[in-house]
Amino acid sequence: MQKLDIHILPDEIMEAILSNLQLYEVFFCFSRVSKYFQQLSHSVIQHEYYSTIVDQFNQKPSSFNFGDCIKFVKFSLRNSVYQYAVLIIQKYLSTRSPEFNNIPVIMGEKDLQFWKQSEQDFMYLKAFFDNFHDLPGRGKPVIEPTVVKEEEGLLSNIFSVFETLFAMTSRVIAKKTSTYSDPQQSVHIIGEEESVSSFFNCASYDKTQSLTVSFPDRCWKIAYVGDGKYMRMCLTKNDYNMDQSSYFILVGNPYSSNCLTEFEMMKNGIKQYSKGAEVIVVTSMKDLQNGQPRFISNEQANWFAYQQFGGLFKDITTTELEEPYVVSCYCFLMRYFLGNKPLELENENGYYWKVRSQFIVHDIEIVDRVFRH
Amino acid sequence: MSETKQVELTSKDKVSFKVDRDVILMSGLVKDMLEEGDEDETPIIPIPNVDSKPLQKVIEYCQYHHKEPAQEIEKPLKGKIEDVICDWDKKFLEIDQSLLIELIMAANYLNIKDLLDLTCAKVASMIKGKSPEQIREMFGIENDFTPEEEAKIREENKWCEEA
Repeated sequence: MQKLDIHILPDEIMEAILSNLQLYEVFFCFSRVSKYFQQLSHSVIQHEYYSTIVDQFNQKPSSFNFGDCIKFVKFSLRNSVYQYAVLIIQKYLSTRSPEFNNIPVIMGEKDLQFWKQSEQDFMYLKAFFDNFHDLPGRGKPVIEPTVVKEEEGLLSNIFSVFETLFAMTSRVIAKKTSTYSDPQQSVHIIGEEESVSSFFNCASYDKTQSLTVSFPDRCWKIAYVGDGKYMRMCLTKNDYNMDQSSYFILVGNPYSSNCLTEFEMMKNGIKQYSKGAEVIVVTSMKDLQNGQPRFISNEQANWFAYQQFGGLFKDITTTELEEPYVVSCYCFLMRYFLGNKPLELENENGYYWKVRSQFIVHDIEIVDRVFRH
Repeated sequence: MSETKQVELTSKDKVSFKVDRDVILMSGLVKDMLEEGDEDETPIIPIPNVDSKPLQKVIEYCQYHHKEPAQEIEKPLKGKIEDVICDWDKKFLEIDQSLLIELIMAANYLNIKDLLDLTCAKVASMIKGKSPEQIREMFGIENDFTPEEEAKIREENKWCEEA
């Protein structure tokens, strides 16, 4: 076949071509082709970085180096995971019937097609995560889970955790479901009580009642992520139980004058006790009116999350049911993407096409079976 | 009935194409040139940077999308380009790779944004999902990284931030 003579295209056209790709595709595929394409790719990433920090973070552009480049690529990957979490939760909620006690409805062909497409997309996205050479290997629980219900695969099991996590009574939320002692697999939801309560209230089906979250000694919910890998969700006070966790949902009240100070304190705790943890910053205060002045703007919170953790910020101040679900689902997906090394490399050059864990395929089949019966 | 005004385009290889003025106004370059010229004549516009084959394709594109405005292609591409464009565009892009590159150059020169977006997205779609080695193979590019440089790049790619 005749070769595509891409060399004759000027840089600005090459940049227009690359603007159609995700930043991580540019970084991990195109920039490794040759030195010229590496330079071109970094230029594309730099351009996107500047427009993001100006538009989204409201910051002035400053110098840009390789460290900024890779930090921004990771930010882009996290954003993509979040987008998938949005799609998954939207699809999940559309297959539930709140009028009939939240009973799952029968999945149609389109729904099945969605899950199968998601499976493909996950494998593709996971390949990019696998390029980070310091990702933790296949995590083995300290204590093997005693009950792994096979019919509750990756996604359906996570969904069932959401349902109990965001249930109507604090008693259910506070219930300690397990004593597994592997903190690496924990998602800690931290923040002052009022905003954490608001976070949970946003996710509640029953908007007529208000839920107050109390902080018990520890309250965990367990979700099995695939074949034996699990993750805990844990409610925690600001400065409590932060040690060695890998995932945090950092919740704050944007209408509190102490919001930024509290974020700073929690950030210091996370960096001291759980270096390298994945953090998503959330502001949540659904009960207040929009007219009330905020003490932290979305741009400030965005910048805080990016600068401190290279992470995402989400504002949950409405009564949207799905947003807290999405934030939680994001953490579970990150667990999947960060926690598994590829099983086998195709060759020595670190190509992306590798044999990967088949558990998603397995789970999709299970989801299919569960929903059909 | 009034006759539609026409414009004559002459390609780099001296082939002439008569095309409706309204149609070719999709080209920013031609539009600018026509604004400077005399309205009453059938202007002859030389297109010295574009051969007849890609120019014919450009005209074909303008004739169709003059009536059926092109849909914006969302960036970044979610999947393959074939999933997000209309059937006519799909068929239009069934061309060999060298003509595709010529078409990109022509769209850029003639300043036809929608055509440039479409053709750039097509190349991006060809790149998507390919390994660096596959991209090199596709474009005939030599790998000028030394093994040491490749190892360094891999070493620099850590997920966790340094303290």
